[in-house]
Amino acid sequence: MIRRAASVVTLVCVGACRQAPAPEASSSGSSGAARSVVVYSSADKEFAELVFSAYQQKTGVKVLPLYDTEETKTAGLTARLVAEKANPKADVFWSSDTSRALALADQGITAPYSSPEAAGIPARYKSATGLWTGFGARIRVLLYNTEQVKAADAPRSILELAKPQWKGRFAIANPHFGTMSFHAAAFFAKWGDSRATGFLESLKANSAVVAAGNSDVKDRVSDGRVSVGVLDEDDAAVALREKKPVAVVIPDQEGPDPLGTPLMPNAALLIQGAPHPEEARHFIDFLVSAEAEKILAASDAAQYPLHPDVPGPALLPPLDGIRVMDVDYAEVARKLPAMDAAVRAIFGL
Amino acid sequence: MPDLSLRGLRVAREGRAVLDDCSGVFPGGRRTVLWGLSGAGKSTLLAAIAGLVTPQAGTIQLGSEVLFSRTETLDRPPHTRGIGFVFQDLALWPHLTAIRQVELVGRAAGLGREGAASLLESVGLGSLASRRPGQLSGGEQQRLAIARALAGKPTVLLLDEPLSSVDRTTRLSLHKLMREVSALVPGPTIYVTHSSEDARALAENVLCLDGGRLLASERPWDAGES
Amino acid sequence: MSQSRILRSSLAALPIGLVLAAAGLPIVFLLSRFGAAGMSIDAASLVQTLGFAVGGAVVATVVGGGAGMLSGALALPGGRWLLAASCVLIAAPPAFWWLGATRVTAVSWGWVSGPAGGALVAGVALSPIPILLVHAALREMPSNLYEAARAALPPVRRITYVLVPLLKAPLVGGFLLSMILLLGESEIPFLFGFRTAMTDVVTLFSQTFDVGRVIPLVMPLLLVVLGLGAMSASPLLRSVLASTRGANGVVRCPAPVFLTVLLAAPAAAAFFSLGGYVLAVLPALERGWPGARLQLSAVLASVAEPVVCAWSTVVIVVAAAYSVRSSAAMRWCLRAGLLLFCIPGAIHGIGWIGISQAIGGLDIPPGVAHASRLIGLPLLGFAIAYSRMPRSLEDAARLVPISPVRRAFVLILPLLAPSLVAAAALVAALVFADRDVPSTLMVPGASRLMLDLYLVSANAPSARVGAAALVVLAGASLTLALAAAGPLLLLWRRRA
Repeated sequence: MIRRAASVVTLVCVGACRQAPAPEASSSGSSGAARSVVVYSSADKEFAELVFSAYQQKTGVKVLPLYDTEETKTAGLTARLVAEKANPKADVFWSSDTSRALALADQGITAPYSSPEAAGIPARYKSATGLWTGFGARIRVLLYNTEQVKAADAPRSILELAKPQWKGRFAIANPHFGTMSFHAAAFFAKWGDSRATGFLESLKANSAVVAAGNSDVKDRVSDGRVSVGVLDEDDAAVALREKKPVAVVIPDQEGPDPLGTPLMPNAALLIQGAPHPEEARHFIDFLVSAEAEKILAASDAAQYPLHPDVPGPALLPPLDGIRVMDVDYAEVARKLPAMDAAVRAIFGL
Repeated sequence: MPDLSLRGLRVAREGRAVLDDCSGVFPGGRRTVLWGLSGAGKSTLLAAIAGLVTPQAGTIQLGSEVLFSRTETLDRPPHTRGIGFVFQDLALWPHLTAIRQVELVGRAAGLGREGAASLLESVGLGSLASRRPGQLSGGEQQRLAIARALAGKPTVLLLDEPLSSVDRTTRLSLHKLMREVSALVPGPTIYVTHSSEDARALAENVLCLDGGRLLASERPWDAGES
Repeated sequence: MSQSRILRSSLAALPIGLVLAAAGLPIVFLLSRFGAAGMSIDAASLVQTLGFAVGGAVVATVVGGGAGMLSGALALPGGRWLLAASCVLIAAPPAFWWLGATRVTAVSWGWVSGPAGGALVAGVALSPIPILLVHAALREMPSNLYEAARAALPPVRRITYVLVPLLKAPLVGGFLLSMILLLGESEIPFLFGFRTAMTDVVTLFSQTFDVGRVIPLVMPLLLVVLGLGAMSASPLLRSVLASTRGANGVVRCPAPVFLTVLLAAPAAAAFFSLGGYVLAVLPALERGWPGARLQLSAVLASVAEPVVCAWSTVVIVVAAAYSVRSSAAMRWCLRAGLLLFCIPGAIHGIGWIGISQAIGGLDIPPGVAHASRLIGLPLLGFAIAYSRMPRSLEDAARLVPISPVRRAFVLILPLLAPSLVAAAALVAALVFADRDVPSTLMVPGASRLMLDLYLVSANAPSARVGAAALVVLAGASLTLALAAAGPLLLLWRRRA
């Protein structure tokens, strides 16, 4: 009997290793064949899962996600998509960083699809040819440690981080990855290569601490290893909810011609040659819909909806009261190589 | 009652000849004490007879049956030679009960569970059949080792200093047992010992191992040769 | 005659040779690509990497070696339990313990940063390696060696001039093995914010998914690891294969109670970290379980994959190496297995991806990369157990008229079972804890509990991270139990 039990356990284990989860039957009672959609997601797993499970419950289509690790946000998945170009495995790319996603469009990795659900999203947040659609946006903020910095002394602009009083006391995420790469490339798009490079050099000269990712920046500010950090508002919201000794400043809002803070939508892209194109389009319809944006806004993700009639995150000021950096997303994407080269040269990363 | 004869046996270990042109006859049906100094090669000789060590030269023959011959390229596997072996450290398998050890070895000789139980009874372990070696005393382990060696109905019985670590009282009772069991073995019983007391109690024939060779001897323990 | 013996020996060694060759394929592939393309080496971060690895190994050896000496040489109250509890640290990677400790918000962790902080944390987490090697050496040592020192020398002198030199092999082996493992560590450097060769490899490969571009970074790490692995083979094999039958081990003498506190340090670190996770979860429990969303498929795969890896590597090794168990070839096989183990899992994974790309994109399951790295562990377990088995037991078995296969299963392998159980458990633990291989080789829709924990720890509330960690711990325990149960079956029927 022990041997029989061992044989059963072995068979179960081998079967589980193959892990080909059987998709649930469609609620519309179609032919009964298992339907699934493969989504590469650089959005944080716990937020993306909210959307995936809502979609699965609604449609019965199984979402098969692949996530990035925090240290290689977005860049890892975009590299994989490029590597798989001849034989795509993904149907949809949900990118939390607009710029790297747009760069994919230039490489012919994406296929055009304009979702009817995105009709309410302003034109500047989506491609005119349907190669990408923005939704659920984040802004860049400054997070400071309230035990080390008084509110009156907190920096109000990203440019202040180059000043002597912040030498060695502030952290940024690795500019090669995630939303920091968008932020850094936005400088290049806004100011031109020369001025942007000079700004990065001034940050380096002011002993900027380069952290592994946004959540690493949040942790360093929270436990006082640095006084100030540059990160996304959802990372800052986590620290606030955890009652860490921190406070948030939305930078570059004041003055005669403020720079504004970058607004970074997520991007939904249909992959060229997707194995399940029909399911991919249906999933994108859901992803860019008001319903999905409501989920993201209400959750700990605290992301700003781009549909005008969807309420924003409760913990943060409304989007229409925020001065947003005026940049063209396609131009930001085009500036990524120049930014990457400058970061390599300046920070040695 | 087949004799065990060795001719020109040579066994080298780590480049050193332990047995060198070793020849001799162990008479069938009799107890032969194999006497010699420490390091003389007594255990090696037993191992060669059992097929556990492959000689570089020579022949081992049991009656008319050749067990090993270098010239004829014949080397019978150990378990086909009909050897019962009581090792110096007894080599009782720690995970098997007494009766299982005996039953396993005796299976090919047609010894079933009843036979194994009966054999254990005959060596005084009838009530301890379900115990594992770790649960037996030193003397009981010796008896088990002997029972296991007999289970396969061997033609030759080899005992490599089996009483080296038992007390005198147990030793005396085991002498009696050994005399009894050797009568059950058609071929020779070869007993390696350093103890003159064991030798006096058991020897019907004596061979000395010296310089890698076998020599007949009367009572070398009396001459203080140990 | 001797030619046929050579032929027979070679044929006997063929199966294990083929197994090791197959396991070494990804490394051979990377080396051949490097050689063929005439690439240069990029060793920019190697110095910092070596500094981190050496620092961590020093911490591991001091903490672990000290604890091992305490537990092996002294009769301390609760010593055995503390020793067992210390070994809990090896059940999860250093990052797991660090994430748990940082949930304890009452402590300010700001001072633990950079390569020094990372080395301290990682060193404590790896201390069970020297603990076990030193403790085992002390239990195997002839008693009279240290007794003579006790009779002649005061404590400090006898420890310095007698005990430590006697423990040179396990201490050196433990240091080198810890250093090798730290060279392959990427999560701690990511968390502590410093670059190492391994983080460069993982980062660049994630950026490009191009094996060719990452080879110049892999090469210096690979060469250093192979060199260290070759150096550590002798002391490690000397420690674990020492055949000291008849020795009773150092006689444990009574010692002051405060030394128990020192011995408790590694265990305390483990339980502090676990306590952090529990403390993070407790406040949220009144609203229900803080809901790491558990997918049954992820749990099953996270448990099944390590168990299948463990069982299959044990079976393969036993089947392939049994015929060379007492031959000189075994030592060479052990060296090869050890070298394969020393190479980080991520490099094995990258090598397999390269092979798969070269043969047209065939999906290579993560289990293959795990097995190619870890095949040396069951081989080592098998060799250790066989070297310690009295030869007369096998001689006695050879006299039993049963088939060779039955002889192996009934009489020999049960004696090796405890060591195979330990090896299976260790393989399962390492597979369960690995992050790099699944993150590169897993198919969409698949997930693993440990990788999920890292993903969740980025931005989830502490309660959710704590809940995920406790699920990981439960999964790890189940995995280890199932992995160990496989080789234990060898004993089950035999004891009937």
